[in-house]
Amino acid sequence: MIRVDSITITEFRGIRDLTLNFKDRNFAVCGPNGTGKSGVVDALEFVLTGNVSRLSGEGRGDISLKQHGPHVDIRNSPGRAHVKATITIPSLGKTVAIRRTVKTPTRLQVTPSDPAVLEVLRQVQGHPEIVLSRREVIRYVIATPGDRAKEVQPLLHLDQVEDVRINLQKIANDCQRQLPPITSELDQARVRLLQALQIADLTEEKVLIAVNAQRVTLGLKALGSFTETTSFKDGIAVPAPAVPRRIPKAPALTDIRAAREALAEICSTNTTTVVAGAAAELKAIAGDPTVAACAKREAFYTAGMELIQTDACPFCDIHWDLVEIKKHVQGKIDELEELARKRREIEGKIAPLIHILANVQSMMKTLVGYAALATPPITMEAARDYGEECGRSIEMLRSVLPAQEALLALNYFRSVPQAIATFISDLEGLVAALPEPTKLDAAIEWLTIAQERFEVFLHIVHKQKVAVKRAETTRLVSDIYAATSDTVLP
Amino acid sequence: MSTESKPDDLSDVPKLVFDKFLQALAGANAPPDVVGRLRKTLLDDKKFTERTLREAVLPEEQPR
Repeated sequence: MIRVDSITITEFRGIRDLTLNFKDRNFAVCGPNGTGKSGVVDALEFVLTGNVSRLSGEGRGDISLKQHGPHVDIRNSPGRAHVKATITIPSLGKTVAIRRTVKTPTRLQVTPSDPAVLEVLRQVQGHPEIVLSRREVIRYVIATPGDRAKEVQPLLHLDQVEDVRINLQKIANDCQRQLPPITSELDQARVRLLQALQIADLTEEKVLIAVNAQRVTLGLKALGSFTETTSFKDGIAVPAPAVPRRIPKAPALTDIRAAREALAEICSTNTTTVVAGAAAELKAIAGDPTVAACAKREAFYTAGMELIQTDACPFCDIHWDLVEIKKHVQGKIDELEELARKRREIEGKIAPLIHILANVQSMMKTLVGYAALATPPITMEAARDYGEECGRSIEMLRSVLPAQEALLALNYFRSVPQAIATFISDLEGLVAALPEPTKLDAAIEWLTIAQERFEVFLHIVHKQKVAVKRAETTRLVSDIYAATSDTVLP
Repeated sequence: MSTESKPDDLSDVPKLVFDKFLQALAGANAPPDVVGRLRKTLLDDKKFTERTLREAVLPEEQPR
């Protein structure tokens, strides 16, 4: 902290020669327009910081300190325009004289000069908020007592502290939201793996018993452990590329049963109840034109907020009040926050429906894969289209907005097309009619499918680990920041 | 007065908050690379946008 004892202004702005002695008291300057009141404030800012806010920064066009700092009568002699001040630094118990000229505004003359004094002056120079604009002063003076603390925040750059808090929280929330879809994907992969292994729990003991039973049939050495690098097929000769793949009869019949169960879930009583609840929520926001408009502007506001870094518009260079414009845009974003909260609520209700669709999509893909190996060929376009449509519906439901599209996606839960039922019956008939494979072929097919699904499962496990780590890190950062800023700024 | 004996304490409130935050983060066993990048973003570059903070906390993520 410093105290300005006196100031002498020479040929600076509208002032030819003026000395003010503040006498360690509050000091006010008053007078008609154009008499140089702001020049006193400019001089004070200039001698302390080497800058005059009103003459610098973006959006000031051709105005510059060197051109417009000196008095109009000596505009070509910036060396004559200077400001001197005497200041006291209570913490050091020292009084020093400082002087700065417009010709060399970055050079501050300090008498007496020592490192401690220079450090204090350096800190002052880094804080141009020592000079408040008329608008800032008025805003603070007319604020109601309850709002005064809020008004002083931008003056102390507390808006920066708040910006960081909001952004860290948003990043942490985003990472958290990425977890449920991955968890759902992992659940499906686990179910598919268990189906292939024909066991109920994914324990090392049960996996080894199931896998080794097949390996013993093939005369292969039993596996002693089950890790991420375990290959169920270890020791099986790789088939020549020319040998066409056959439909593995037993696994295919198991998957056909699983597909029927997945499709039955679409129209179950429980699902219908969940669909009705989600539809009611979606209809409520679909009928609100404000919601639709806000949703479209969300990305625009967020990007705009990042562009508000200087005191002029980055598009047209028109000057704006940095604090006011940030507050204005933040207000818009706050409106969207209410929308985001509602969206999170609906996402929670929709999550089980997405899980059902994802399961159906996965089963359709598997059955289409079997159908591609069928001889004679069977019509599978309907199943392929159904699976793809399922994927599109999942995306629409995950987005939630536009609500009209999410509502359309809910139509998916009304019934299963007859063409799908026909496809599954045809495939089942074809698979059932296949000759029973030899024990050796059946064991190879079993181990091959189990290995494929094990690898898919591992891939998603890895993906989930990364997502969990990201969510934990961002949450830790956000929580510690919130706690620290609350402690420092109680 | 205490405010006069410690003039630096309140001279830069954001820096004060950021310094304490980074100390607390390091003490909470946050990944050192994350702490280092946040230090650069908050104290050196003084960039507080979502994009810059995201790059500091999740450097492997593509900018959105």
